[in-house]
Amino acid sequence: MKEMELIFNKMITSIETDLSVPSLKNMALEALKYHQSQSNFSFGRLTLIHHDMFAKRSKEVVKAAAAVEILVLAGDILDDVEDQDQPEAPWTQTELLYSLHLAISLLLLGQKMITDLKIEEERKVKLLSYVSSKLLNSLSGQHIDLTHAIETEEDLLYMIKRKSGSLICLACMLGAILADAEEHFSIIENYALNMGIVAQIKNDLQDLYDWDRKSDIRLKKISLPVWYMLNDKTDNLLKSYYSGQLDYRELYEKKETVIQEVEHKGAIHYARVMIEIHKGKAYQYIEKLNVSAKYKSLLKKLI
Amino acid sequence: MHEIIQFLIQHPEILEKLKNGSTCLIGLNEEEIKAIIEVFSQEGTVISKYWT
Repeated sequence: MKEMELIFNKMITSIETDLSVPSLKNMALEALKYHQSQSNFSFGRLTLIHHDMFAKRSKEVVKAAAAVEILVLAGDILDDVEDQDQPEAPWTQTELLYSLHLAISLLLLGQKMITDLKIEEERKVKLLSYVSSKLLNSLSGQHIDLTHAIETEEDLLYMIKRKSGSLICLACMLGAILADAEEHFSIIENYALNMGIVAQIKNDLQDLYDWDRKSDIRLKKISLPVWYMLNDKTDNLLKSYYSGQLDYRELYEKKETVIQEVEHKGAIHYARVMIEIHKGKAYQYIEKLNVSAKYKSLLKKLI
Repeated sequence: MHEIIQFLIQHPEILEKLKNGSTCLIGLNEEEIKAIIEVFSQEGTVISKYWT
């Protein structure tokens, strides 16, 4: 059975077992089906890879990978509710209070799935503590993003590391903790954070062109290419919009010009240079891992 | 980094000198210079496929 199928089946089993109210269960299953159609379960697969690099595959690691994907789904729902985007997702087509309730239920379900793992108590406590800490880091990064509390490049990278890097750390480290690969923890966290930065900047670049599905510009979010434009020495349309001189309707009418400005003034180059720098850092840490060349190559391909 | 990118956008002739080693950018390490040369030598956007 393919890994995605293994993870998907475990997610379904947990939802059906632990969410007893039929309407909540149905909402969760509908959300899961949508998540499956949009995702290749990259986070859950990272958990599997980081276990299999160091130890023989067990049933419990597949359950842990499913728990990671449930937590990521909960985070996606919260993100979309807060950002008011992804209009085609089932959770944005229902009432806000139902979506919030679903996200909280999945957040707790993911943690329960880890609590239910059949492993030594000491390791379980370590896993749960790690999960809580990384989820809190991710939520604090999302809070900084929502409140636009970003002035410098350092602020921006700190926010991205927290928001995006923490979830990738969580996915990788769950596998590594289950495999008892303690001597590799520091290296894994370092490349996982850089993987998170690369993934977030790639998403930011895509979202910059997709104003109808993504709300980054409308909500005046400060992504990396936007931050570059706001700090450009010359005037530009994004600067005018973020400072309140233009409203969103006026900006939207000039979308093509905005994109041209972003491309010509160097914001795309800047974002791509930052991607290359953090990809290079991740590669350096991956090279330090004491695992086979096959796994190093696999990890690099994921960045 | 953003100031260096702005400078290179305004002075693209510097990039050739950077590539052949006849000039350097103060404050940047080897990896950062390599990343700049790589990006400015390519065209096209980055598409994320894995992280969905």
